Amino acid sequence: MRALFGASMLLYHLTQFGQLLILDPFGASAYFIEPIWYFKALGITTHVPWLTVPIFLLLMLSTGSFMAGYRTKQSIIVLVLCIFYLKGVRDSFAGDVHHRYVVLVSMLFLFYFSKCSHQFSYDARRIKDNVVEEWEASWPIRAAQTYIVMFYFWALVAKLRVTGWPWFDTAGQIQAKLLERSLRSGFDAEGELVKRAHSFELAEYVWMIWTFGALVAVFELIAPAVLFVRLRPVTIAFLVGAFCFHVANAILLNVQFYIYPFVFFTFFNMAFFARWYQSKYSDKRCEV
Amino acid sequence: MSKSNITRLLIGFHLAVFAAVVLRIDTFPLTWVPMYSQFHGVSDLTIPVGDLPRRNRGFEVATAEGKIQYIGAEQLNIPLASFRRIYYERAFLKGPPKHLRERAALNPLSDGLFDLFYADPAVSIDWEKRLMTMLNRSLERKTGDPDYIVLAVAVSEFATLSREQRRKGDFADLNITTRTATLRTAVPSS
Repeated sequence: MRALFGASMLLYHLTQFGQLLILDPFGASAYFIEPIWYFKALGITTHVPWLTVPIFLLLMLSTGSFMAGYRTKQSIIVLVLCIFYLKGVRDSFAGDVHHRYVVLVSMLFLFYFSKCSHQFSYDARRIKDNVVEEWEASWPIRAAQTYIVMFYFWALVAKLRVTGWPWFDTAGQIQAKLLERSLRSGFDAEGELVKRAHSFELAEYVWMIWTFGALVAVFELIAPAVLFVRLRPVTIAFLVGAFCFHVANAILLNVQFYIYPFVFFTFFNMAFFARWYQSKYSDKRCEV
Repeated sequence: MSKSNITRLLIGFHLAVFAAVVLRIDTFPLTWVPMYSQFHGVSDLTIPVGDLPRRNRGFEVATAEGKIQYIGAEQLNIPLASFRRIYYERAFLKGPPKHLRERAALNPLSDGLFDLFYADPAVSIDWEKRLMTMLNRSLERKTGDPDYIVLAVAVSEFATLSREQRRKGDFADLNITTRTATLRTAVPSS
């Protein structure tokens, strides 16, 4: 689980911070128009462009060492600090705070207190007692599953709290976002939309959009059931639904969250993989 | 860690997470998952219509000595996505979604709690001043410098769609209007 999570995060970091890497390291030091809260607390008001690449490299290195289970707890600390910094930079330029690292940081918090480094890791070589009892292996996974699932439920609650049922109207939020994202790049010389013309066309089919919205609402409402109904078809239906949700958001609304579904590894039975791995490599020492 | 300590950890973790949801705390890494929850088009929906050449050129600025320059994402050395938000939203005095929804339909307990720390960001932030400060400080221009930016202009088209139009899916007429945001550096009082 730790290795899969770490490997996926390597790609995830690139998608989230790639836009910072192409900035000129010796160019202007942008003054943040609305620093994120911890930048305000620390008095960080300006971007330091030359610092971005070293911090990103440190992020990738610490993610790699976390993946390999080398100095795992220290790696998590470094990893989280790097995320805080780079996310702070990205969000402080314009003041738009993104939530794409909330679940990951929470899962890293759980990993920190778990025994994820006691097996299939370099740290396992140094640990005298690397026996992991069943409850020790399962509590971080169950906690992560709970958090991931409730995220969807709370999203539904938030929509109802802030906007109410008009959110789901045929002329509701989904249609509004389709229009907004398709008009974002404007029109070309021929009067055609530059990007996401398919989103603009979809916005015209109001009942189709309403159906999508209703499906999302039902999905978010019953998502917590997957925590209690331990049936594989239910779990698979939830995972497929969530995957389709995030991919659709990426294609139609340009929401750069399409790699997030890697957190769904928490719903797969890693014990099965562990037994297979040990039976195949039982003569070799466990590494990663 | 012992089983009892893990139990305490999990109770604390879930309490913190749940408290954030109940109190509507959206402070990384805590959140109440409010993304896209606020819908601004219950009656009319107004959307910026992008213009890539204009956006890439950036703000038309006037300096203290009267020169006209263009300041865009490249000059400011910021990501294009961030510049887009600054150009189409902050320049038109519109804050980020987090600010706009923070106090919307908020329960009195959370409202009082937030007021202990800061005023409602949806109405208390002077985006004109912030943006002009951002432009000058990013380019290291100080008051009194001949190239100090005293005026910045952003131009954008906006589409306005009524609820009736949207319910019919009729977007033949986007009712496009052009707006100009003219931002000035505050003149210090003598």
